[in-house]
Amino acid sequence: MAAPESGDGNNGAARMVTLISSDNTRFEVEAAAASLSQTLQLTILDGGGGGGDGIPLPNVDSATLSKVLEYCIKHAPAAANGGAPNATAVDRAELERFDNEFVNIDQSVLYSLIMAAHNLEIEGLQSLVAKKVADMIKGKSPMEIRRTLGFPDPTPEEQAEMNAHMLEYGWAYE
Amino acid sequence: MVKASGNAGMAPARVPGPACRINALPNDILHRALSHMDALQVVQTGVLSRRWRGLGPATRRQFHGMADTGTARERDVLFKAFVNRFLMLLPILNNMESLVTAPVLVGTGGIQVDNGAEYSIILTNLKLGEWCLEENFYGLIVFLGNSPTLVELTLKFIQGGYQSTAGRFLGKLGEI
Repeated sequence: MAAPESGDGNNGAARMVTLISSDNTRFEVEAAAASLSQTLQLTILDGGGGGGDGIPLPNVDSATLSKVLEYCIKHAPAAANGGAPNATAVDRAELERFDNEFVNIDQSVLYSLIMAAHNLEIEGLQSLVAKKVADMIKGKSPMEIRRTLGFPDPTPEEQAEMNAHMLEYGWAYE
Repeated sequence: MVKASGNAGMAPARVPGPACRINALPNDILHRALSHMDALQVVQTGVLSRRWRGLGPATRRQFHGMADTGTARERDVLFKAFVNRFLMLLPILNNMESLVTAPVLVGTGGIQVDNGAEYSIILTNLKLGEWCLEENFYGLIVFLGNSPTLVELTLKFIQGGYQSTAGRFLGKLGEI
């Protein structure tokens, strides 16, 4: 008669769901963590992902999914508190430390993470990785920006267009 | 392939590297990244490619509750309307304890000033400096155009310095 389905994390045992990466690795996580994904949230609310079923994620490989879930698990408690208005400064500092460390990664990993966050619609993570991209660009000269993002040296034609652009926005390049 | 670190130091000329990855990202994501930068940096990403230069005008912020507007002229007018409102805020801010920083904040669609006055402007990280006082406010317009996820506006005044800035705005506004 009990209705454990409707509990929002107040049950004794947290409800678990299974996510399946594109390379068929199964990840079992708390529903509350997986629900940070807007994409998964409805499926999970409808009772999906439990038992032996699992929710297939054909666009996310296991390495990336593992990283994404690391984020979700860390952030789930704060999210459950509705953005944690009463979180202590220590908790917030810890999350911030975690976030900074979390995006201290190779660009190739970062891009996979960006796509996963986008596809899974995990708001906090989308924001975090976008900020990381912004940080990679900030405070750099035009050539440094190109190199950081891995753009090849410009062809003469591209160079001419770049020059025209820089001339047009001279104030931004002083 | 997996390792791509150290790319800041050495430029792998003509070798397809992370550029392929960043260019594979949809505009939505790039806009989100641009929204974390100030206008100066947004403009500077124009050195990357035509696509990046095109990211500016491609999307525009709704401004003052108006729908996206097409022409530069319309945006120009909108921005001047913003500056007018900004100037209207000055006396209010003037009475606040600190002239140095007056954070002004927002839920969706509105700016709440301490005295409860509301303004429907949505922006963030906007830094007004000499460089953005171009004749046609282009830098700021580019910034607005690239900030689809703006949620907060922070206005900062430099003590004693803002008057000349306001004066310059007024000078430009006089041309309307």
